[in-house]
Amino acid sequence: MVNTLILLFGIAAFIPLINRVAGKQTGRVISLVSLGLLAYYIRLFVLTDGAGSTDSLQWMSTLGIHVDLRMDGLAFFFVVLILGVGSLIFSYADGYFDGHGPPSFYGILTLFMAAMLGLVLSDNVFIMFFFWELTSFTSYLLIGHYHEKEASRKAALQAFLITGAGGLCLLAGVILLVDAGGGVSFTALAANKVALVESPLLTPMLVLILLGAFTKSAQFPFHFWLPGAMAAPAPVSAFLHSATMVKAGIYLMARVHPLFGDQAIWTALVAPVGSATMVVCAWLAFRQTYLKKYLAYTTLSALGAVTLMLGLGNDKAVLAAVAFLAAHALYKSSLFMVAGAIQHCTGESDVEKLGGLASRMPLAAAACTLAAASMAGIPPFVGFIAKELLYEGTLNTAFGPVIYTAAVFFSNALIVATAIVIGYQPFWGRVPEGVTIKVHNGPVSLCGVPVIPAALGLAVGLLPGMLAAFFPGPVVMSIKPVAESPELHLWHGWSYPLMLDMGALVAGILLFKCRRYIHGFRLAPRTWLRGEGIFFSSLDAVLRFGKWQTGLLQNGHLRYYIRIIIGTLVLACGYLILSRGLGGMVSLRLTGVAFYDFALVALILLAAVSTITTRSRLAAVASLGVIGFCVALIFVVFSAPDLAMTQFAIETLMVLLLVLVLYHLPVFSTFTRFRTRVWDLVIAVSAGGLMAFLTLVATQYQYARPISEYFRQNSLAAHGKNIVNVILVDFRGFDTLGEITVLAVAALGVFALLKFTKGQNEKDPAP
Amino acid sequence: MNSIILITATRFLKPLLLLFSIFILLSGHNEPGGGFVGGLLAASAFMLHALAYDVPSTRRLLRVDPRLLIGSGLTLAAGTAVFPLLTGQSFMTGIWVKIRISGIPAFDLGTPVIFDTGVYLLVMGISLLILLTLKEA
Repeated sequence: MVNTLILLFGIAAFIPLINRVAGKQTGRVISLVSLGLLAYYIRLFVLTDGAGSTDSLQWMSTLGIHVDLRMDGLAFFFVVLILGVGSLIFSYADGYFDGHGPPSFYGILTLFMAAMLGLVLSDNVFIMFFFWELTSFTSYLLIGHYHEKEASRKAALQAFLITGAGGLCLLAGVILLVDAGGGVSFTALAANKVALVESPLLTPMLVLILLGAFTKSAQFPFHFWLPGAMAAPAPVSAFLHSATMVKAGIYLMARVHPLFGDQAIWTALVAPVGSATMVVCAWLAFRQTYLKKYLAYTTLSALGAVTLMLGLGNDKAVLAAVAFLAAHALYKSSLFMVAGAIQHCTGESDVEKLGGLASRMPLAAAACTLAAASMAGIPPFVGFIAKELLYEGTLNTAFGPVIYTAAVFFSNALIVATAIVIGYQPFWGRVPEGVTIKVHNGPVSLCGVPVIPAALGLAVGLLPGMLAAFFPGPVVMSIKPVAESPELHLWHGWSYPLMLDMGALVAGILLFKCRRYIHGFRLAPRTWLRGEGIFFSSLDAVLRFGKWQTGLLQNGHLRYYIRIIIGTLVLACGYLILSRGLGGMVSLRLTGVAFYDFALVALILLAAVSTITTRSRLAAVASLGVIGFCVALIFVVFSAPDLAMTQFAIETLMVLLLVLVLYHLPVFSTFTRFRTRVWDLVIAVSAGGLMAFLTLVATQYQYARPISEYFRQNSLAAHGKNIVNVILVDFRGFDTLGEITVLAVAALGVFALLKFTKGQNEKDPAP
Repeated sequence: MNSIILITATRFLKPLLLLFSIFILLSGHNEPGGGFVGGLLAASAFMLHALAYDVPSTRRLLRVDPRLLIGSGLTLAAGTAVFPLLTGQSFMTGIWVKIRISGIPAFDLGTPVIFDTGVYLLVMGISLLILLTLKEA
């Protein structure tokens, strides 16, 4: 299983090559690959009889983080979803872009698919988090695909920041989870469930993990990023924001359901959020006019419904969640693809301006009608089965069945109305007054591919038992093990759920008829209260604060920066030393100091004074050189030949460099006032005194065993007699590697700066 | 700069400095020396030439662009660090072989010296890049 991930990553990396070979068929190539992978996984699942096949790749042994993959019923369900819908989307993308698609798009989409696959297959919580963040990142790149448009950029950033913040919460929650549960894999945590549930960290852990899930799955109040993400191209919307990425949060909730599902706090947190999302977004959906916005809000409502079911947690509810997930993936991906096709062929995406397209886009019409029927929950589509199960879930719960059932009923009615608008108006409805529609035909894959998931929705609805080995039995068992593996039936008998479902259908048709009157009914609160408003005003505030702070501290004067840095250092350390009376820690012993030491020190002091006070630039540079050479002599005196040699060489080149630089500058003149120079003197002297003090403390106090012992003993084993050099290239070779990288970058930076200003000077003619 | 003393001194010091820099590089593991000092000495040789003559002739003498030196130095160093991964050992393991040639005592050759050569090339490259660019400006 690990190899499939590596294969997908490899495809993403080599996409330019693949694109050069395949050209317009790139999407179809990847589509075939994902179909092949799908077949592989199905075979794997059938062979192990759903018992859970595992695979592993060693990574960080000391932290216990390996790429552990495990496929149980739940993971398999998502794998089928990802790879199945993925292969459809890649074919569709070929048609949508019609050859204009940049290869990077396919590459990032493949990367996303790989990340999503890794997410659902991971057994290790940290690896799952890694893939989680990777999906956020690729989603950012994909939403911002039309990066010349500001709306795209803003939407991408918004989505990224919200899911990213949620990701941070998830990381914190995961760390708490590992800490309380004592294991890094889901299987280990499941075995340790009792300790987890009784841990005092249960509430914060749950809240953090749920925040991660809610932001990713766009639950209320974080729902506003999803409609914005509709700025992405249609393949992206159909894949990420309806069938896979937003379901990642749902997946996480399903995955931790065996751990926390029976806790009262789980239901108290999850169910209200889910039902709020479901109701609010269904209402918002009904009030839209743009096709993709309709689809976005109905997706949100569907996600809310699934969350609600997972929150309620009883057997029927879990079955409902699984069934609804499948039904939604099928009809929503189809509808998104149709929306993209309509956008591509007519250039129009406002439903109010569309009508009568059935004769000119027959395939799309078929797909749309089938999918919309499933969405409305008309029998015998799979959507009908799912909706009925929703009611069974809410009616069987112990936590206030009436209110949840009412919520589901209300949102269902709205969804039905929306489905009728989407399914009927663009294709079968009358063309609105004064509107002309131009249709230019797209390639077959554009309108043909959406038919596949829509037709599947009908097929699964008619014969739900056909997939009994895979679905929904093993999936539900992974989430909530029950005595008997549940099955789906088309006909449940005359029961409350059936009547409620029919009632919702009728109510929906009524709403559809009256929709003109309802459109004028505004219920939205003030802009600044809505989630989106809060997001943008806080982002604005952060940016304004950053600007103010930068202007204050980074005003462009080097002297100012040095003063702040050194001043802060001196004040902080000085306060510490003086307040604790540490001055008595050091003592100056002048015995045993030879005359040449004194001579060197005197020379250095003289040279330093000369550097500051001289008027000639070259004399200042020469004095600095003298200081450097004296330091090299100090190294010689203390028997450090390597350091001395390096210091001599460096000092020579440094003097050369300073001369070359100062050659171009004007004569020294005094610009600063006397008072400023006195301040500079104070800061300089106190900094020097601080460094002297610290050096004395370091040499006079030994808090730990010196590491030189180890090096002395092991140097010969490292084939070298010069311990210093052995440390540089062998023991601490990694540090050296880092240092030379920094040197390289610095040199390139200097080079770039010198060439850049030179070019600019040559552009401006001398006045 | 047209100083005859400098030109004459350069003619003698340049080959000496270059040879000495290589000597320092190779003997670094058992005697004082190493890649850093070697690189600086080599750079000093070329800078001496640049002071005595001019930068274009120094660049012709150098024959390669300093940036190429930087890149190849980094590649050598990083390569010796990554190479052990291919043979199953951990990152940056030193690999040593014992060389036995009749007539001279057996000695060890290892990847640290290649690493040091990378450092040598890099330090030479950055010094020359910065100093030559400054001198040209």
